[in-house]
Amino acid sequence: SPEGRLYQSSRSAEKMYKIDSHLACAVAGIMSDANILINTARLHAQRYALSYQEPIPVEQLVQSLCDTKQGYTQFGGLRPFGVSFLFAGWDKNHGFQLYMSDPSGNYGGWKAAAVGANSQAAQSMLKQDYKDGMTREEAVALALKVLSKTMDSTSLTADKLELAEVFVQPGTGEVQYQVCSPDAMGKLLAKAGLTQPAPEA
Amino acid sequence: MVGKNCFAIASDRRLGVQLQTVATDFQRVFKIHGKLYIGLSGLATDAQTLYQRLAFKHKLYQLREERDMKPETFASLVSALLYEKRFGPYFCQPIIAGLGEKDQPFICTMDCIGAKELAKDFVVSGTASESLYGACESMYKPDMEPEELFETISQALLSSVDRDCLSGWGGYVLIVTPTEVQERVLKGRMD
Repeated sequence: SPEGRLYQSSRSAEKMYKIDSHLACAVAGIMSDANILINTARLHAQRYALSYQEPIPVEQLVQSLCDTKQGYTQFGGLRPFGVSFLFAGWDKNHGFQLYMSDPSGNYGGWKAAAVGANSQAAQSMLKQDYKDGMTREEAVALALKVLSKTMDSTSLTADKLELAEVFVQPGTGEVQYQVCSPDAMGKLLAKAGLTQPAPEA
Repeated sequence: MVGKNCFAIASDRRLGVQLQTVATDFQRVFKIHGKLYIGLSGLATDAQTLYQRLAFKHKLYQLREERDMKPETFASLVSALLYEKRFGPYFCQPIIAGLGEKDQPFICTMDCIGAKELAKDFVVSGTASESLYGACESMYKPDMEPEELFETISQALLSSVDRDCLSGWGGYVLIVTPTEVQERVLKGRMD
């Protein structure tokens, strides 16, 4: 979620990064540490693609990044990376996958997960409300509902949130990563009944 | 070859080892992004490896900048990559063709160590390059529409490769306009 109305970024999202065409991640923690790891992840994914001429399987990328994070907890006398990630991606072996990792380098595969501020509250909400076999629209609605209940701010507007999806494009069958535009976000929030009603003029 | 708000890039389809023909469907023109293509003539393995390395670099550029590379920038990238191997080069002559800012066509070629040559009309490379220069020079006119450009480039390609024993076995032509990309396979003298 954006920092506030004075914040201006040249990128499409503040806390979401595309690592490869089939892989994306969301970040929680120290952004400067995250930038280093994202760069490493992108290079690793491309080097794999160069050697094997196919996209890197999601778990392999997550594991390599977590191996790097773990190294900083055991060797060198350097401090660990203060970043937790949520990785979302698709590969031909296991389809769509979600992984969560923390600064220790520990990672796990999840059906639904949350990182960052108020993540325990979010995680317990997800535990209650997540059901298998949800459609893309249902998943988006659930994510917005959980965020609205766990975020500290009183009202939820499009400029306070970011939404990105990794999905199969219906026409071409390709996996795509797309960040939700502010207009589309406004419509989604209205449909979910989460926006404040406009004040009477 | 450059046309009116469009460009065409073409190649033959033969892969051979001196006198033996090994493949008749060899791909020499590669896509970098929707409006940028690179043709690589010369040693086949170097053409494939060079393309894979360039795709790697362009992918990282796209991820960081969140946009496609401009053709002029890409040409500089290719030139730098080739010069890095100045004393053990890739045996390839690239042809770069793309639509740049405001969909202006851009073409250029370079030698195997990265000497860029920009042109406004056409660029050629490969074993039949001398014939190609002659054919293009006589057949080219500026500001051709896509259909006429296709005819011109096809005729220039087929007539030139017919004079070269190492080129031929059909042709592959790609016409790129701001709105669409047309691919066509040509049937010439299959020898």
